[in-house]
Amino acid sequence: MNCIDFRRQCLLEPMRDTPERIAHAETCERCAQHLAEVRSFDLLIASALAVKPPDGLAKEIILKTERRTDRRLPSAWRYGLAASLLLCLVGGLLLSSVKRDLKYDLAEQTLQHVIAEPEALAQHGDVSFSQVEQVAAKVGLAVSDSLARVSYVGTCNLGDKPALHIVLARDSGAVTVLVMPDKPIQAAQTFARGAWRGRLSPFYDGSLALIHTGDMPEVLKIEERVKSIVKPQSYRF
Amino acid sequence: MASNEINFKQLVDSYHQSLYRYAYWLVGKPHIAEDLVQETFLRAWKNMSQLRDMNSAKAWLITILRRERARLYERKQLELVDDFILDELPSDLSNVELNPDILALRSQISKLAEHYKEPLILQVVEGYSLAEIADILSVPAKTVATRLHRARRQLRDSLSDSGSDGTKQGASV
Repeated sequence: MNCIDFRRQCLLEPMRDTPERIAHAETCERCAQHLAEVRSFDLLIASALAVKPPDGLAKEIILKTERRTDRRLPSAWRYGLAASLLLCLVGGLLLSSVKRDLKYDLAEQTLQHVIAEPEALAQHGDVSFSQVEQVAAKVGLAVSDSLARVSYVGTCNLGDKPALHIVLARDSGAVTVLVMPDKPIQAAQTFARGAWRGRLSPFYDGSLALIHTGDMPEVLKIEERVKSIVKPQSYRF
Repeated sequence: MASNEINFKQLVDSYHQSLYRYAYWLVGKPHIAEDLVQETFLRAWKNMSQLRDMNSAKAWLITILRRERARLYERKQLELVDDFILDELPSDLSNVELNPDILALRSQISKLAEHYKEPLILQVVEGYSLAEIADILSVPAKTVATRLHRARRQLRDSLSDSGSDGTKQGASV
């Protein structure tokens, strides 16, 4: 790939990495800089487009759909029961299929959560280790050492489950860490959406998500670090 | 039918935010965007049997939303694009809304023609490829590429005119 092809592709699909594009950016500093500028602008556009729906919209949709179709959709326990019955009836094939869907939904949920909370990404202050420790304890997590450059820490709910929400300031852009003690997944996966990249991996009985706009190698180091210093309180360091 | 109901709840949980965002930028008014999303899911619920693959659900929902929006315009003869309500956006975006570059950009995005705005949302926020956007919007991929290029150029030009440097500011978001 030459510089003209590289820049043409950058204009068409700035966020889509191909092996050829990555290889060219590694050898051409000017093109790499061009790509970074194009992506920065897209990130700004993405932030501008990120509007949050009214609270409770999902519940409102379910309620209105029930009312207007005169049919009750399953409540939480019915949902669970129906899922269990389906799993028992159809067996392993269906089991793997359902798990794939849930994993897919979790990736979507984590992305949605980060996109819908740009205020968390916009923080610039330094959060102390003791603050991280205190907030983590609220969702049943223990932290044994500090993470570098924490700009935000809070708890949040993904679906009906609590999670620890941390944002790390990095030169290549903010990295959001979501530790979800009650959202299990079977295997790690990476995903991408527009300006955002994400990685989900198993974490004790739950999962860990990292959402970012920067480089994957740096994110993998962060994942390793988080896994080495954060544990459920029920586990000993 | 039970699996349809489970799938429907999953769809609502997973995609109501994406659809609301898309609807908001199409119609420009939060309460109409909310109605539109509601109508979209109602239509989706009635047609759940048509959804063969959950992985293509979002594109399917966006297609329904675009049709519902066309119906809404036919019924009410609405003129919505010219009077975008940016002030009614949720207040919990306070930090970002205070960022003047993002505010300026929101204003410029609201002024973009719809055929520029739609592919921009689909690519930048939803992460669809050119081919996928072409499929959703039922236009050739080359047309999508041209519209995306022009949309970005208009936004860059408008930020330059207003004295903001979007490229540099973007890195700190």
